[in-house]
Order: sequence, then C-alpha cells, then structure tokens
Amino acid sequence: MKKTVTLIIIMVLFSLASVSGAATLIVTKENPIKVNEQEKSISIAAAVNGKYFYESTRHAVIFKDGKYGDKPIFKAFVDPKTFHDTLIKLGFKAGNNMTMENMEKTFVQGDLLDVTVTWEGTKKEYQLDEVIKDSNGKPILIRFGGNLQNAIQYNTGCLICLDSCPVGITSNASYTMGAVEKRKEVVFTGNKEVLPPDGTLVVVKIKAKK
Amino acid sequence: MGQSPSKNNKKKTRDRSKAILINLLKGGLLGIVLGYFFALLLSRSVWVEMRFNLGFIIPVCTMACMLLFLWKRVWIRYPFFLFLELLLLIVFFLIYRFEPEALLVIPACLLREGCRLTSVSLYSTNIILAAILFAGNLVWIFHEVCWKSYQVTSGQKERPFGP
Repeated sequence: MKKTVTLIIIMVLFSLASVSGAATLIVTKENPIKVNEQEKSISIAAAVNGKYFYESTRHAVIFKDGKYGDKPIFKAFVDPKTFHDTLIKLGFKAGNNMTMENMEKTFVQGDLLDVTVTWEGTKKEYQLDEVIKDSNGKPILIRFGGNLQNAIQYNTGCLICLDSCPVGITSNASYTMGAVEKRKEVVFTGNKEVLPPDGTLVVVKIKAKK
Repeated sequence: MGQSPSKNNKKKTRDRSKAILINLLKGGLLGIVLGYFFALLLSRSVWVEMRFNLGFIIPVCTMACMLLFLWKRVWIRYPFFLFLELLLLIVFFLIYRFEPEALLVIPACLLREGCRLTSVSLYSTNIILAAILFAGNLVWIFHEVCWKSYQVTSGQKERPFGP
C-alpha cells in the first residue's frame, strides 16, 4: 500500500514537472492578441499552414479572413488594422516609404522588429529565420512598414510579408518586391523540420530588435 | 411467355438511371483527376499561386466533366482513366521531388481551399479524398467487368446499360 502511494506521488510530481517545462499559449483563437507594455511586445495567435512546407510563398503571416488568407505560412487571427494600431500604440515608428510605383526598387523602412514563434510543447521561442527557410540563407529583417491605408484598400490581410511590401503592415527589408514572384531571386518555405503539423496553433511575438 | 410491356418499361427506366449514375461517377472521377492536373501545373507559377485560389479548379473541373458525361455519351475505358491517375501521380512526385509526405499535404490542401473548407483538418480531407477515389475506382472496375461479361455471354457489343 505504501509503495503504491509513493509510486503515485512520484508519477504526479513527474507529470507536473514535465508540464511546467513546456510552453503554454498566452493567446488563443478567441483571444488572439496580447500586448505586453513593459516588454513592448505583441503576441498574436496563428495557425500553421502545412501547404507552404512544400510550396514557395512570399507571405509569413496573413489574417485568415483577408483576400490572401490561404497564402501564408502562418494564418493569423488578428486583422491588419488591429495589428498596425497596436504597434503604433506601443511606440513603434512606421516607415511608410513603400508605394506601388517604387516597390520593386525600394527596401522597406521603419523600426526593426524581432519576430519569434512558439507553440505548445516547445521549450524555446524560435526566430523567424529558424521557422522559415530562405533559399539564399539571408537573414529575415522585418521592419514596420505601416501601409495601413493600402492594407485596408486592398484587404489582402497581410501582416508580415517576406519581401518589402507596400501593403503588408510589416515586411522583410532583405528583398525588394518581386524577388519571390517575378525575378525568382529567392524561395521561402516553412521549415518542416522545426514547425509543428498543419493547423497547430502558434504564438507569433513581435518586439523591438535590440 | 415474355415480360409485360409495363415491366419492360420499368426495367428500361432502371437501366437508364443506372447509366446516368455511372456516367456521373465517371465524369466526377475524371474531373477530379483533370482538376488536380491543372491546379498542380498552374501552381508552378508563384505569381499565379499567390493570387488565385487554384484549388477551385478541382470542383469546377469535376462539375464540368459530370455535365459533359451527362449531356454527351462519352465512353472512356477504365484502363485509360487508370493511366491518367498514374500519370498524375508521376507528375506530382516529379514536382515535389519524390517527397512522400507531400502527398499527404498538397492534395488535401488544394481540395480544402477549392471547396472553402479551411477549418477541416488535413487528416479528414485525406480520408474523404481517399474514400471517393477508392470507391469510385472500384465501382468503375465493377462496371467494366459487368460490361465484359455481358459481351461474352450475349455476343453483343452494345453497352448493358444505356440511356
């Protein structure tokens, strides 16, 4: 009897220990955004889109109800206006330098952001470079582009694009528009060796890059 | 003595209904395969893939082929359809560099997007797709076998069920 009780206590303690070591999500589909004003960060809920483990895309994160809601590696549950306004509220400065006329020759400007991804069961926050593969191996430099007016007008739902974009709220300053689709300079895919399966809820955290 | 005229009419109506259903099935299966062909080929252009719902081609092709098979007496033999299925598989593996996991993801994603069922899991979509293709192929094979045995026993070359 004593041995059984001891065994049960050990098992309970072991399971508690393993649970406390794993990441628990601070956002859900129902409450998809959380702001930490001390840390100056935004956490948004998104779901993995397994199609882009095998296909190329130029979108990292898009609002699921946007026109291009099926095209990103992560389908977010937060709309572009909320995302943009929250970044402004936290004091981030938008570049607002991208236009339809200059997009193929211009790199996005604005505050440099640190984007990490985590999900239930992971023990670390993965950098965007770790969960998205750049065929050239260049770092993904996400900047706060702004573009709220274009985002509302075109309604694509773009939150984080993988080349400098005049519609995405934030985008990658390593490439100009057209690098993926037109000039085929680079191929972006989700890293299936790291990311969890299709449909898994992840937390995308955006804060200032130090 | 022979069957009464009313019984003959009922038999003809049943045979006609069977023929219509078989034609719809064949058209549907062919449409699914052709839809996937076009969707996969068009998705090679990243520009097109980023702008259009390519999965939508699958239900459109399916409906179009079903209507065609209903309207015109299109007669496709099963070996030809099997050849198209195998060709699709080869094209798929060439595109995705023989990654077997892609077969569990891409077809289901395309079907899900095409039918606007993005909340359905990949697993469920794969089950539905596999069931449709498996059952459809079985029914087509059975129909071909029935047709061959009809030819052998009756010596006739006309189809056993015909509209």
